[in-house]
Amino acid sequence: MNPVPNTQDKNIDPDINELLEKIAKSAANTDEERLKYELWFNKGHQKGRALGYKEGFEQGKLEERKKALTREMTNLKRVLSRPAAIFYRVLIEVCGINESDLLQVRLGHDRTTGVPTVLIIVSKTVKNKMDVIHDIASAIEIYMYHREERDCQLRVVPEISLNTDLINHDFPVLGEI
Amino acid sequence: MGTCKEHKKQAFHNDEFRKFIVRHDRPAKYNDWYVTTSFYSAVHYIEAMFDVIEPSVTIEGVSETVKHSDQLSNKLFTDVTIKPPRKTAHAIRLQTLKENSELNGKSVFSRIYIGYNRLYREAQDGIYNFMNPELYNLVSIGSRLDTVSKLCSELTTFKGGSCK
Repeated sequence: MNPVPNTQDKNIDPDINELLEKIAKSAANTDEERLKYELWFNKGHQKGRALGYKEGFEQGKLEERKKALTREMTNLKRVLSRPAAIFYRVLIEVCGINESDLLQVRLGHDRTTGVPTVLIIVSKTVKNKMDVIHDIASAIEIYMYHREERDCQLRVVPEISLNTDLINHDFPVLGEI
Repeated sequence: MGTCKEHKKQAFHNDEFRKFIVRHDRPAKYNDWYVTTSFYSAVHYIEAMFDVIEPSVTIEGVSETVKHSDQLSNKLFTDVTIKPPRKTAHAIRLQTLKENSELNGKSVFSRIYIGYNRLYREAQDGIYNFMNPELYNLVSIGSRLDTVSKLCSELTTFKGGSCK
């Protein structure tokens, strides 16, 4: 006669052992997979080092950042090329600034708002026209926002007013990098 | 979030400091702080006006009411559908003024935008870009702040004068 099962036995699923076996088996498979992956990963690392990369992961991150930066700059050029061209022509034709006094045109994001920004660096001779230039820049920004749905900022700085942080290179790109 | 009255009080407070600099800064050494206090005074005049007017601004195709720029900035920050970079309170304030401006540049919002934008840029150059303090046109900056303050007060009064 079979012994009367106690309360605990009753609560145990009859297939529990089968289930445990399955789990144990799959765990072994996972370990095996992990082992294979580690070997493959180490092999990849060795290959990377052989190619001259000092640290594969860090190098990968750097490459990604470079790609993201290029992507962001391409996007900035697409968004800002028209406002920059309009602003440049207006400075010459409306504000009467000589083309030779427009020293540089830089692109970037405004550091406080993140809005795409055109920065034009002008020579010191333009200093006395800054009031008019600021007003016209704001008017063009309003125009671009309403007519072309472009949210951008147009800024002008005389070369003597700044240190070299914003000069000779596009300024920091924010966003998803 | 500050009320219209609180923002106005802070605007006056900042403006007093600007005037203090004018009186005591001889020879002029702290023009950058003159610009900075002018800018932060303008910020509070505009926020006081927003509190009463409650203008709208479009963020990714959706119209949002702006009662306080930083309140909306915080709301958008927690919205996972909004793409980065984060819309800061400064960005929202500028965009709201721009969106409510008219193309002819003569509407009240346009004039506020033009005046405020000038202060914003000059303050930024002073704070971050090491602008030579001697190059600021203080008369022009003072007049921009006066314009912003006057127009914001006008708008608030027209709306029903809940903040005098």
